[in-house]
Amino acid sequence: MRCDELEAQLTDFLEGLLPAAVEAAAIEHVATCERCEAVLAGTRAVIAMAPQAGRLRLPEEDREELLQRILSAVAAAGEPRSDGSGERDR
Amino acid sequence: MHEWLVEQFAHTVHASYNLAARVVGNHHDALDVVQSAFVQAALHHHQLRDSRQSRSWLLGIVYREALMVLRRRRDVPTAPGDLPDGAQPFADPADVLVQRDLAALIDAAVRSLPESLRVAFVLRDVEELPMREVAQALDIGESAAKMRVARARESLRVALQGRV
Repeated sequence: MRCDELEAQLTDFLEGLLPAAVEAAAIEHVATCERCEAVLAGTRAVIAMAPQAGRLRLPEEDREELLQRILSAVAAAGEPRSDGSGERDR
Repeated sequence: MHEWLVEQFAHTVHASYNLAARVVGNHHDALDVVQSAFVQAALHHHQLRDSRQSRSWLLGIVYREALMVLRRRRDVPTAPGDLPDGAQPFADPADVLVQRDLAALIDAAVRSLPESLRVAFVLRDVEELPMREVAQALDIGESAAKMRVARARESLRVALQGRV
């Protein structure tokens, strides 16, 4: 596998979606290519830190107030008809 | 319906807020977006054909509501100083580098992404939705979602090179 081929398939590689033979070729390439090894490690680092570092958190004190605002707004708008018209969830 | 709404809120409010805040860039607009999206979802949840898609359906509504906020203020500059977790909107990653504050650095790098890549990254890698749900929420094909995620990851990798 060449560098550009790995680059094109990097997401599938990281998602574990490559066929076994292609995945093996990718692993073999990374083991012998310093640049691709660095790209792979850097991308994995980004993915690993994302759930913690990438999240803007809803402050807990806003959460309950937000729910109450939503419930009040829904009540004010009125619930949709549930008259058996066949549009409910399956 | 009340029960459905409360359950969806419990499961999805944090992801909804994160997505909204990442698009509109400030706390108060993000709250308004989430409120509006959940009200819309409650009033139209009979349109949800497959309850297994509740999360991506709801996040799709959040995304559309957030885009509407952006459109309404297209010509109005974003006011800084209103974001949670202390980060400033649209900060230059290079400015934050000197602070050696990894969280702020990553946050700034995420903010610097184009909106379409930023939301794909937030849904896939921050909220850890399967690629299929990312595509559903953004109303795009799975291959397009995959491409956006890949481009976001590459931009972030380059921006954060040597720092993570």
